[in-house]
Amino acid sequence: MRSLLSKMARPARTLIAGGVIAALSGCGMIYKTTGDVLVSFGQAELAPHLLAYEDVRMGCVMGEAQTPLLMAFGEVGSHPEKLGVMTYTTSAVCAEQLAVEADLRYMRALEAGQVSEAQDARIEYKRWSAVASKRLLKSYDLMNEVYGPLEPNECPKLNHELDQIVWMIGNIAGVQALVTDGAAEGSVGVPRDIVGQVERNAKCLDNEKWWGAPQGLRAAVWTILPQLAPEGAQPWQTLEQSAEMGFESGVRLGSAFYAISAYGKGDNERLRTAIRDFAANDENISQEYAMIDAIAEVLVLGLSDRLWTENTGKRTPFNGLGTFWDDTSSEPQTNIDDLL
Amino acid sequence: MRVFKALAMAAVTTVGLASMSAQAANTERTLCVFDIIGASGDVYNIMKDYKTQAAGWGVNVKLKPYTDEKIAAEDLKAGQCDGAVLTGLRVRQFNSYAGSMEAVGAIPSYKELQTVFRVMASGNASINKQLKANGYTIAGFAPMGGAYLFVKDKGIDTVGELSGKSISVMEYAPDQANMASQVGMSPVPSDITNFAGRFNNDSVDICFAPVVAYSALELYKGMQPDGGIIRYTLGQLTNQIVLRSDKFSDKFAAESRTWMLGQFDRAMQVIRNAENEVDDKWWIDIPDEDKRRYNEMLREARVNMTESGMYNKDLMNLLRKVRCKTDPSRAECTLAME
Repeated sequence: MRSLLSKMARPARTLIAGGVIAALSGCGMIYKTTGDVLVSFGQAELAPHLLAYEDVRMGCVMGEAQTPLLMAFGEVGSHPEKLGVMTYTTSAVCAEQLAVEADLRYMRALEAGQVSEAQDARIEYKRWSAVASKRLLKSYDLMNEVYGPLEPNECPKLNHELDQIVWMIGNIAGVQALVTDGAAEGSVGVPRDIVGQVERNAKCLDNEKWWGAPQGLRAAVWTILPQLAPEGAQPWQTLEQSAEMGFESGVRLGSAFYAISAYGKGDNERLRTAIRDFAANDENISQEYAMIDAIAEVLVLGLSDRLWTENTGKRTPFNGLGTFWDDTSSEPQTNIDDLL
Repeated sequence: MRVFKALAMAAVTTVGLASMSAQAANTERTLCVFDIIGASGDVYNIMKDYKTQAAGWGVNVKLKPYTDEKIAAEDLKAGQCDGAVLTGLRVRQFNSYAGSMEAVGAIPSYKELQTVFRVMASGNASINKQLKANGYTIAGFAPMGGAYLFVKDKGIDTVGELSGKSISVMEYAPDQANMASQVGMSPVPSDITNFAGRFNNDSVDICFAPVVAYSALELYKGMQPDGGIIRYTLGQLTNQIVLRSDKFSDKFAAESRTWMLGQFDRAMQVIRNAENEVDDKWWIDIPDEDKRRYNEMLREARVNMTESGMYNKDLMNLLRKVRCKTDPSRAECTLAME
């Protein structure tokens, strides 16, 4: 009886042992499969869905919350890098918004003569700028991981729409990483030749198809470093064309580049024009790429808020983007003297 | 009743004084800041912190970014700006003492540069006198990095081999052209927008540039395949705050100099980052004998240019003392020619 039992138990033991080994080695397989499904779903469904959202806050918080989970699948052989380019960038928007809030606090504190408060706001501004810069640099690096290494002036194969949008977002992130690192006292150490690389990389995209943004990005770089502009380049004219193409196609990224460039140059006249034009073209927004347009709006609103705060102590009034504190009414004033 | 009157007088006086100090705190001044990148650049960023300090010194400073230094300098002269942040080369027209800080080979390392800045911020009466002249006051210095020779051919590593080569020099810095001509080079007047392009597209053999330009302007392109950077500091580029003396008090200028000195390490971080981006393979080390030859050649050039009035004699004298304090074995320390 005993030997019968032991005879019966032997194959069962083998089965159990085999099962344990299979289960243990299968963890990796299950993880990888899960990762592949997630990445595939993310690229096919989540990315287009997210890009169609106009809620920037939702996009940025999603980026902050989901990026670590998503990127962890890279450890088991999946390839979440393309999605990572997008989620790192949207997560940087969160940090940039907090940096803008600190910048506005700095302005208000100075106006009120509160020196310590202003200094504290500057520290906060630098901290958030450093966080944003690290995230943006990661986005740019992931893009290079996917499509590089490339020879100078070589373009990667960008056959699918997803590749093109990832390439565009990654390159914009590269320039932004450098700018935010500047705000963070260079503590992140973003390589400075990023701008030159981005200027060339932008040529790999179809300008017409992508709302004039690739040329706008190049022209924005020319305004930062005129040394990188090709001979005869007209940065402001190119930026105007880029803005116009953005208005026509419903993604106002070119207009945001125009505004950012004007702000960087301290050209308030151009900055005001850019903000007014941006606000005046808020209809006909692309449904497919509503998130990109909404991020552009956040950037322009941030610049408008800085102008308003510097001049009035308050940010842009609610629904007031495109207006300025010293605007005069376009309506002719009725004389009320005889009514008094 | 008398007590009441006295109290009333005291109250009036107190209110008066309080309103005066409030008025002082509300003094508004415009500072035009040259930063090649504009409002997003490193210099402008330091000045945003400066603005918070200035509020504590009783002045509300409005910052205005300029990406064209010439216009910033012109606006300062025209009174459009109450002060400006300019590079030392442009400061020369406002103050010959501070504007000679970029003299060729005068400050060999950052250690000496910091010592010089400490002297400038010391509050010593004779230094303050030098910093306030012709209606302008120099109110602070920041390092912008050492400048080096970027060459297209590694073989150009001795003074003799410089002869016959073309070099891009800043058109508003006549000492650079002068120096280049003295060693037989052909200076090609350039500005900040085109000197890198000329080097990268082979129009010139050599360019004189700060190390911070290496990565941003992709000077490695011009050095490929056989070029390099000669490891010898030809000069220190600086940023300086120039104030219109009638718009700011001496006390403000002194506070400003002290605060700017405190920003030295922060500015150095940006420079170190830029230096770390330079691939080690580009550096060309020159033998000590050649270094001594360079030292001697540049010393002679400084003496000549001081005699011709291009460099300020008093500053050259101070810089020699600083060099000799750091390295008393330098040949010039027994000569006392500067």
